[in-house]
Amino acid sequence: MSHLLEVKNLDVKFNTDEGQITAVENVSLSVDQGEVLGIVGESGSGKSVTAKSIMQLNPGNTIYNDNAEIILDNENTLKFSSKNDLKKIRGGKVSMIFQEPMASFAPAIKIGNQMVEQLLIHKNINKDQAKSISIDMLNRVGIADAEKRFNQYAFELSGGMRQRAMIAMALSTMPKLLLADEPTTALDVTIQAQVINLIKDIIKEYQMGVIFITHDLGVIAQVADQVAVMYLGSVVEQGPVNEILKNPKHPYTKGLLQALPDINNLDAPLSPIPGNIPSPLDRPTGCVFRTRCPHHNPDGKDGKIEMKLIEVESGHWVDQCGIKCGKNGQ
Amino acid sequence: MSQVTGSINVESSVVKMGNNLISVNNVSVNFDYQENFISKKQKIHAVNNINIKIKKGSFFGLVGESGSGKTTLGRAILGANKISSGNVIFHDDERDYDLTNMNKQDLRDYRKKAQLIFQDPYAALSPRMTVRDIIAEPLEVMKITSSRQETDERVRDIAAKCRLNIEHLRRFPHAFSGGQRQRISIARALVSNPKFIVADESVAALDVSIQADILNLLKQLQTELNLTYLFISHDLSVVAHVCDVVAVMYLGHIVEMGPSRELFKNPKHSYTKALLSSIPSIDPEKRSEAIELRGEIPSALNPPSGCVFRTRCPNPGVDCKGGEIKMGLTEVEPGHWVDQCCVI
Repeated sequence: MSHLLEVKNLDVKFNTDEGQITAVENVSLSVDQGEVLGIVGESGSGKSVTAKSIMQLNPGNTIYNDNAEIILDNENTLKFSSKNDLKKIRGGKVSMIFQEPMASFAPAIKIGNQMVEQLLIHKNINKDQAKSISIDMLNRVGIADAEKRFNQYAFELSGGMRQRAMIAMALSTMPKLLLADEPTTALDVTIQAQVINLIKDIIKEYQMGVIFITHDLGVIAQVADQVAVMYLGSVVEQGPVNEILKNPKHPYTKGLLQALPDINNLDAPLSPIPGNIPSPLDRPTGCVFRTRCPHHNPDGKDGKIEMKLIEVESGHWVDQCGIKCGKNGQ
Repeated sequence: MSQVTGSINVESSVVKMGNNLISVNNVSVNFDYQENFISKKQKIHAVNNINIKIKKGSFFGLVGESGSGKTTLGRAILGANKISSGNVIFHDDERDYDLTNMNKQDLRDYRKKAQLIFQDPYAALSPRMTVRDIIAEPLEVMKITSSRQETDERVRDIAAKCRLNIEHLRRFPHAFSGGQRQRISIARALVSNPKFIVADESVAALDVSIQADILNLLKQLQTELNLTYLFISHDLSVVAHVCDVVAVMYLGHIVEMGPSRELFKNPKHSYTKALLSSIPSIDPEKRSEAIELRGEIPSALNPPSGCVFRTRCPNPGVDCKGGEIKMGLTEVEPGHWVDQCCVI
């Protein structure tokens, strides 16, 4: 079966005044219909850049490598350049939900008008139909009084409600792929639980593929089927959610899990990952994690081991340097 | 069970804690609100009738959703918000300060002894000052040191304690990562040698790997410098890990309070239970056990009568649904206080 989305060997570089920055290196991912791929990692790990590449939303100084492919519905979206083609992936087949719902709505345009506007661009329908689809969608995501909210501005809605409206807007064009970039990070836990349940229901109903980006492993455990752990632009570990969280192999994944305060185990000490994520300007050669790795093997420490994912169990891929380091640590 | 009259003593399970450092007695904070110049003036009840005692050497946690009044209470204790009624007493070694009744000199003294660490380490540091100047500023403003040499000594001393590299003191904040910036903010708060620190969402903006580092640093500095913290956070797992005593706030009221282990192991109030169940479990096999709270926190302009939580309560009793039960804490176990509506 072919995948809904397949990203192959993606490199993303940015031309800046200080030189060329590698934001993403050799990332390959795939998402099936009705599947949630979770991408986790610290800030600066290239999660958002990867997702934005799918819609070609990265800024003008971005350079993609020539052999990279992003295949959506048998088309390589990286080669899209005409307005019509781009329209297909920006809001048509692919929709995106951003972290800060206040920043994603235009403040001076009513929510309803923004929803109608994008529907008119992507669907061959008239204004009244667009309005009824929008109100219907607002109802679906659990906004009470949808008709009234339709005529309000973003600032009149609370945080949770704005995020729901954002989701309604992203879904109203019936995309095949939904990119959710930290959609619950700005929300309170109680509202986060509501939004997670909502997203799960919607995936089930519409059978869309989802890329769910977050730095919160707890959220990943709740929504994802597959997980990719990213560090400094590279995927260091990848596999089914159960495998990754219960049987992590890479020292970075292990570190993230140990740094997380667990409410069910209050006696466990919080162990931070030492050091800071290096600047992408001086990205380490070889294994990108070696500067912070607690159990580096001598070859990995010197950067002699290339980054390469190896399948350790069926579907569970780990960077080859990380496998050795993970073993040394036990 | 004893009914509350006046103030409450939360006995903590942790040893080594001395007398009260801060007593908050029946404190309310209201803000005036007027939608436009012809409409009626209204009052926002941000904090209502709060009683807490913070013991010397404790790590006192304050949790709740946004809009629950945590920050307002923290600022009121620092004298940064006006207290509408009630009082806050700071028990110093020699004398007590009454925050509602202080002259300028007292306020100046108090500011040296009580400091604040902010949430966002990117917004809290001036981009045009070097790290040395940022840390030294409180000393100069409060006229604590008399010579430049003395100032430099204090800055270097506290920077080392906060694990900042001394060579970095001449750099500007933009050269630092989030975790390092937060350490600069902590150094600035601690340089005047305070006894009491309000940490307002101080780790919320950080990545988990760095969050653990900052939490460990705060703990370590507490023992080294004899600090007492009021730790404000919306993240219950963080609070459960670092705090000795926890108070859960909802819409300006404390609905439950007690020693942190007892409270998290044995939550009594339905709001605390819902909050705890909403924390996404790290175990993928334990999905959606969350007690879903309908809707969102109501407006503090006209809070529900009686129990403020009744509009979202998953299992309200007949009395509290009608708003007939007044808010008030009841002691269910030694030191564990719960709002009476959820006890009955």
